Amino acid sequence: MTDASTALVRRAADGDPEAKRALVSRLLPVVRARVRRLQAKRGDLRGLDLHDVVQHVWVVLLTDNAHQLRQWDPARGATLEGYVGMVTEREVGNNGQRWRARARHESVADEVMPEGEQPSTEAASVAKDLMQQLQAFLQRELSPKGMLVFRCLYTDGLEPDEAAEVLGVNRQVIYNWQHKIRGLARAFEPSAA
Amino acid sequence: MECCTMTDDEADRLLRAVPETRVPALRLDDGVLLAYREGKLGEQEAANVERLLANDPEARALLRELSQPVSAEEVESLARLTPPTPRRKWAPLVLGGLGTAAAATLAILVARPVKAPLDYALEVEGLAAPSRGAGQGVVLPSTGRLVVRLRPAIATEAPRHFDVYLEGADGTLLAAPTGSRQAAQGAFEWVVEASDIAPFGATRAWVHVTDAPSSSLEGKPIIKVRTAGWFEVAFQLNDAGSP
Repeated sequence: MTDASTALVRRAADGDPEAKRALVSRLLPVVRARVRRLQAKRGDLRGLDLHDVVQHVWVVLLTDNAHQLRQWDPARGATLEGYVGMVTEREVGNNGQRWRARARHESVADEVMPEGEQPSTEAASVAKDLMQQLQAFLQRELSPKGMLVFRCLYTDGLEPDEAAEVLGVNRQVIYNWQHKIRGLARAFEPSAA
Repeated sequence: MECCTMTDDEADRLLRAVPETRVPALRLDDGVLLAYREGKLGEQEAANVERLLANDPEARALLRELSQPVSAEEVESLARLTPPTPRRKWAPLVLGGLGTAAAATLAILVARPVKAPLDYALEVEGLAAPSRGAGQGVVLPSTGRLVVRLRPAIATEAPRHFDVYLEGADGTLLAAPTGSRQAAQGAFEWVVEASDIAPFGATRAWVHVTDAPSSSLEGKPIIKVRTAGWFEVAFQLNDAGSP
C-alpha cells in the first residue's frame, strides 16, 4: 500500500492524468473534511468558500512538481491521508486571517455543524451524578464499538442511517446496538448518593 | 426511576443527557480513520480506534466529514487543475540609457512565463534599475509609464482574453487601471501611467491570459488563482521620480 501510494504520488507529479484523478479521489475527502472541521471551529474561516479553500490546498500540494506531496515519508508513521490532513490544517490555519480580510464569498456558515450542542432543558434537569453513573455503567457494559455507536446516536445526535454511513456499517447493525443501549438505560439502577 | 416501564423515547432522552467524557486524544491519522470505516483494520486496531472515537467528539466529527461522498465533478475539476511550476527570477537585460533618472525608462525585462496556454514572452518597459541600497526589484518613476507586452511565440488568431490586475498589499487582486490595452494575433499590450498605479499602493501587476472569457477575479487571493496563464511584473514606485 505504501509503495503503491508513493508510486501514485510520483506518477501524479509527473503529470499522469489518471494518477492525478486517482490521487484526487483519494485525498479530496481528507482535504475537504479538514477544511470543514477548521471552519466549524474557527469563526475567521467560516465565510470562506469551501471549494476555493480546497483548491488552494490542492495547488499547494501539487506546486513545483508536487514538492509538498513528495515530502511525505511513510517511514515517519503517517499515512498519505494523515500527512495531507496535517498539511491542510497548517495551510488553512496559517492563511485564515489573511483570507478573511479579503473574503468576498458567500457564507457557508449554514453548512457548518454547530459546536457543542447543548442538552435539552429537560435532560439538563437530570442530576449530574446520576448521568455520570449512567455513563460509567454504559462504559462498563458496552464494547468500544457499542460506546462509539452510543456517542454517535446520543451525543452527536446522528440518525441511525447517518451513523451507519459514518461508521461504514449496515443500518441494522446500528439498530441492534440502539436496542441494546436502550435496554441498558432501562436496566440502569443508580446507586444512592 | 421506573426503569422497566421506560419507553424508547424516555430511554433516548436519558441517554442524550449523558455527558461527554473527553480524554486527551492522540493525533488522528485520517488514513487510519478511513481504513476503519472501510473495515480494513484488524480487530484490535479497530477497537483502539473505536475507543478513541468514543472519547473524542472532534475525532467523530472528522470521521463524519470523511464519510461525505465526493462527486465525480469535484474530482475532475481538481484533477484538471494545473499548479504553477517553479517561478523564475527576473533576468534584467539592461539595454542602455540607464545613466540618469530622466532616461531611466528602458530597462527591459524578459522572463519566461510561469505557465500559459501558449508560449509567451513577457516584455516590460519603463522600469529602471534600482539605485544603490534600493533593495530588490526595479523602479517605476512616479512620472513614468509602464508598458507590459505579451508576445506569443507563434502569432495566432485563436481567441485569447487578457485581464490585468494589481496585487494589493494583502495579497489579493485589484482591478488594474485600464490605461491603454491592445490585443491582436494573440499578443497583448498594456500601457499605464505610474501616477494611475500609485494610489493602489501595489508593487506587482499580473496579466492573466485565458482562451475563454472569465469572470473578474478581483478580490481573490493571488495564491489561490495563480495556476496557469499568469504573468508577473514586479516594480517599486519611486515618488521622487529618480532612482
